[in-house]
Amino acid sequence: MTYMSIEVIPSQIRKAADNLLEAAEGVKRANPSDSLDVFAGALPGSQSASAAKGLASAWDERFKTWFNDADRQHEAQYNAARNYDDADYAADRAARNAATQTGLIPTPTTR
Amino acid sequence: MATLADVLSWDAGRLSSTAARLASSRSRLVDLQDEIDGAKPPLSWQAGAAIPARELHERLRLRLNDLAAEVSDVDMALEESIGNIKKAQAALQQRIDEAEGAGFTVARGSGVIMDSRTYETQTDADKASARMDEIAHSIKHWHNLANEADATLAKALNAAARGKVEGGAGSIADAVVQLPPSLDGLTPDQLAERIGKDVAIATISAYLNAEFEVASWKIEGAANADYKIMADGSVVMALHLEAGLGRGVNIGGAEADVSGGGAVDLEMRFKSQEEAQRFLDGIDDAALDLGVTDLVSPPAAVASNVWEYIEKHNPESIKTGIYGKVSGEVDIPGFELDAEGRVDGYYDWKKEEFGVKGSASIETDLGGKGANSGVEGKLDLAVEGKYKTEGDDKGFTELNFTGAVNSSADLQKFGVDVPGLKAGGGADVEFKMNPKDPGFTHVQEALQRGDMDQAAKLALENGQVVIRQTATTEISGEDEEFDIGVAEGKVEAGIKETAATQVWVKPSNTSTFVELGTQGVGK
Repeated sequence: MTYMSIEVIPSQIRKAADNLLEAAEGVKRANPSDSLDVFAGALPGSQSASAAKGLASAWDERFKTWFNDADRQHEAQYNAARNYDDADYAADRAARNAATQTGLIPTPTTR
Repeated sequence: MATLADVLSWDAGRLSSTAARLASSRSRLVDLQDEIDGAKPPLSWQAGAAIPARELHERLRLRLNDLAAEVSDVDMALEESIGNIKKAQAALQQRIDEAEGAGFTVARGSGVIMDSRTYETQTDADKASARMDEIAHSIKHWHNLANEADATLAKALNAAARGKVEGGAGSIADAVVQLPPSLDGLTPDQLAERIGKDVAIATISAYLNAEFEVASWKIEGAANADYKIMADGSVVMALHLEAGLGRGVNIGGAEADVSGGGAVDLEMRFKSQEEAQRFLDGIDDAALDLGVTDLVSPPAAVASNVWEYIEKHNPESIKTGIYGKVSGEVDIPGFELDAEGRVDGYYDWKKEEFGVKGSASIETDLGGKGANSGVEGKLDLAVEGKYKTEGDDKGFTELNFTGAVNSSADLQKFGVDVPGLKAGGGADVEFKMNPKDPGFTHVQEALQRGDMDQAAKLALENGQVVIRQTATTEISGEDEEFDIGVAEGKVEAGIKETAATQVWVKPSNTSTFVELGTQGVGK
């Protein structure tokens, strides 16, 4: 049974992080909160006008937070990939082996 | 509660741009499925930071679903309220005008109606009082409806703000399936009853991509029919009679000679599939009643027998070839039929309107400009218009031009500037002119002269333009089951994705294209 080489895992981690960042950029671009500005002028005296204001700030916060959380995680994963070493590799292999063998306690091995 | 004055001042139309932005935001979010899936930490990464990374990814994924669901829900609620508010305002204005026309005064702040006139007799005074009460009652009703529409919209906005809209744990496309407030929480039967009519079906299928059953029937060489079974069980049928069977058509006492025009097309509606089937079985009998078996060229008696039978079922629309109509005494008022046959069409005897079909072509020559120097552009279009011969709305009631380009780059040659249009790949172009659009008279004049090309050019500049760009690859076209989950009071549906289609609209008399997002996903 062959296991992927130590170089592959960090590159996969980075690739996932890149996808996350792309998603974050997409979410940022999709932020519709400023489209609600027109409510106040369009429906004066309405309940919707004040509700729209509340939604605009809720959405702005939510969309921005999503971006920030994803961006931060992107950086964290790149760090993890950069610092990925033999010990990590061994731990991952062990976890994989444990996952495929039932009832056995994993014993980390080093090469 | 907003005052009457407030309600009358509302400009719901301004919110259409918000609705378009929300629809566009929704489609952008749905498009992030690949990225969010690809962002999942690799399975090979198990130890250490992998565990919190995986947990965070899942939380982000669910939050993304929630965002998409919120955007979609608000969009649906908004679109519904825009319609309801406009309707209430129109009714209010009409009643206020009526009240003021009758000499009453309407206080815009309170909605109170007063009559400060004196009457000669008690009877006159009583009559005026009764009328005033009726109008006051009606104004109150529409004022309340407008406020209800506002309250419903506010409810949806607040729910989204409070994070109450659930995106679920499935795909982003699943998350955006949100019903508008008027349909939310209905039982399957109530839904079917509410959405059974044609227009509602189109709307609900946009939300749900429901499939209808379609059936067809024919008597070889003489007649055929296609019908759709709607959600409420009613049936809409298009029945086509060949020239032989159709020539007995007798409407309004005048017999129409359709031999020139050929066939007769009828639109009929039935309460159930059984009723529709019985009708079709009956045509056979009506035709064969006289013992004639050769239906390729049935005698006049058979034709009128069939016609009598059909007439009893009250068709909604009866269309015959336009030349069939013209060969009688009536000409299409002011409309020159093109001798080269580029104009054709039908006359609908029930709706009393002509359908005009033709073709047009817009050409452009870019001369010596840049990369496109010396290159000509030509956009071939099919033209279809409806023209009413009687009534207050006499004249063209509808005008459509449709065409297709093989490469979206071609569109730019016609001054069609669509942001986000993908280079390469074909696009469908459709533009419509509405009689209410300024510039419509010029288009109509061009058409009446037979100058289809000029009409098309003007419509492109002034009318509503819709561009659909189809992706070159098709996403799986598999049929999905349509299911209504009763327990949740919500409709669950598999989104049927055929081709991914981006749609842009330039509303009439504007110069900007608004992206409506991807069809087949909640829109």
